[in-house]
Amino acid sequence: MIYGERLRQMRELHRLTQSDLAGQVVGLTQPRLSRVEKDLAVPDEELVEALAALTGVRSEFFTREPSPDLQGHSPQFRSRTRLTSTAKAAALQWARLVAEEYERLRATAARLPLRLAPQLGATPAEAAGYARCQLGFSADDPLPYLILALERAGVTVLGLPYSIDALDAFCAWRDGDPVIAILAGAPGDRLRFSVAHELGHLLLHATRTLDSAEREADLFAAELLTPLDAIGPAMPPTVTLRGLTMLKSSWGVSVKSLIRRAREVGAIDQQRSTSLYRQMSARGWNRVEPGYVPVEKPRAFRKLAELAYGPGPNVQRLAADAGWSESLALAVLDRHATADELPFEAVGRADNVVPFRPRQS
Amino acid sequence: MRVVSYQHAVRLLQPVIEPIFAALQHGLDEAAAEHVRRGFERATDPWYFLHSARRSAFQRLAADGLAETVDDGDRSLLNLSGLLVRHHGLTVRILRPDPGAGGRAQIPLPATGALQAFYHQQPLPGLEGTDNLVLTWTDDLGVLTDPLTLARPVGGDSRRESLLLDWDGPLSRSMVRLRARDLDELQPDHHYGSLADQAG
Repeated sequence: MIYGERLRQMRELHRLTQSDLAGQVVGLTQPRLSRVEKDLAVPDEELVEALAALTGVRSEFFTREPSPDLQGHSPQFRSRTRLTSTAKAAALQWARLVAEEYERLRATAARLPLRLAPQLGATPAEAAGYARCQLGFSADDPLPYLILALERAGVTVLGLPYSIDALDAFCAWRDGDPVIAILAGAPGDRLRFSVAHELGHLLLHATRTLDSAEREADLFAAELLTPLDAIGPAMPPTVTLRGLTMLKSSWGVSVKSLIRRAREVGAIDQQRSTSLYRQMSARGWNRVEPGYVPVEKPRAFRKLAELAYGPGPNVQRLAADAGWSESLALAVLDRHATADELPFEAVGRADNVVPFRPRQS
Repeated sequence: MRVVSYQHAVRLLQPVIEPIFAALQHGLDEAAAEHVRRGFERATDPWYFLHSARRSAFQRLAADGLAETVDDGDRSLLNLSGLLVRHHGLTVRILRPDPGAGGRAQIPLPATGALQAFYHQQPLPGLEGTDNLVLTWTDDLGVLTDPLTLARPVGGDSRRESLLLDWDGPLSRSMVRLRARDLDELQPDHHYGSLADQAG
């Protein structure tokens, strides 16, 4: 006996139509697959094995009761371009898959207390100030890392081995737990802004998406990453693309967002702002910007797996307990940071650094 | 003007140490592969090998958003006096010392006016308040030598005795290990000690 919902989950996760999947199995038709997914037909063992092999899980995965659909938790999607329904469904199913395993692993360890609460009546700037404080950062320094800080504050951050151009991240409140899912492929600066944007949704917006929600989440993200009171004094006396690229490496945000910030703090006028945007376009920076911002990964999923299965962790055991293939387990683990991939420690003051002995001349 | 110490410079550069090492080794590998493919001897034209390595290293650094070109009208040119990296308030020129140079001679002399201005810590427009550093690299039979040498010049021209440094020190690949604190609060509900504890 398998759950048809499980089969639908894996099919949607791989962005396959019923006809696509049925076409890959000898003797399976789309109508029969439809009946299996609706629990109106019982597939034989051989068919279940074939479907499991095709979708990257073990056959026992289909016999497990499905976890609740994330769709029911009103996830907030911020897409840069139009998001197709199949792409959105795949993202939700990936998050559901990884979240389910995350929950299973979390049951073996003590929970991190949640230090963030909704700020429904607050302005974006007020909520950003609150978030900085709760995440343990000062009001006016660059955030050295964001995702690890969110995890320390009790936010579930899931790395999905799935990439689409239109979407970097989405979020949901799930049984009182804030969840942020991160897709693969975004450069470091864009990812930080997207994660900050999702945090804005979690803190500022209840389940329904309002028309103004996207703009408020953008304002929250800009204020969290580059508070106006702090970024103003940090602007170079002469605002050039070169100087903003340097600033980007310190604050971890794009040059484009820094131009917008420079305009907002009055460091440049509208004419200069337009000129800088044009220079960016002429140099091809709209596609790829210079300035190094490391790509952050969430850590907790892998850490929980290490606690449960030892250092490494033991992928065979993780895959067996999850009902996944080993390649699927490896793909999910790869989206979560090893200890060596953790972000770098915050840059301290000159009198608060590890002393390296200068070389003797 | 801000004056960065050696320790602080290492901390500021820490996130980009690995990309810089990887790019330089990639450049050396590409140059060696090209020489093998075309039957070139490195010793016949050592500068060509190094230029080739620098060109490939630039491509790798640029892909990471780390390397910059110099604007010349409509063209975007590779910096002729080494790779240029700007990060966290530091402008770093990555230079190759003269073959066989050692000690302080590892820091190349600033032969051009632009490089002399750089050595004198003169900022470029838009980069006021930043520090100019020099990072030198060498290789041993195509393998990047670790550590590199990081220095903060404060003056110099084409004479060796004119070279003035605020400080110099090693920049090693192993310096990347200082990471943010792990999720230390995340502990298992049960932690099993030694077999003796369990037996007790």
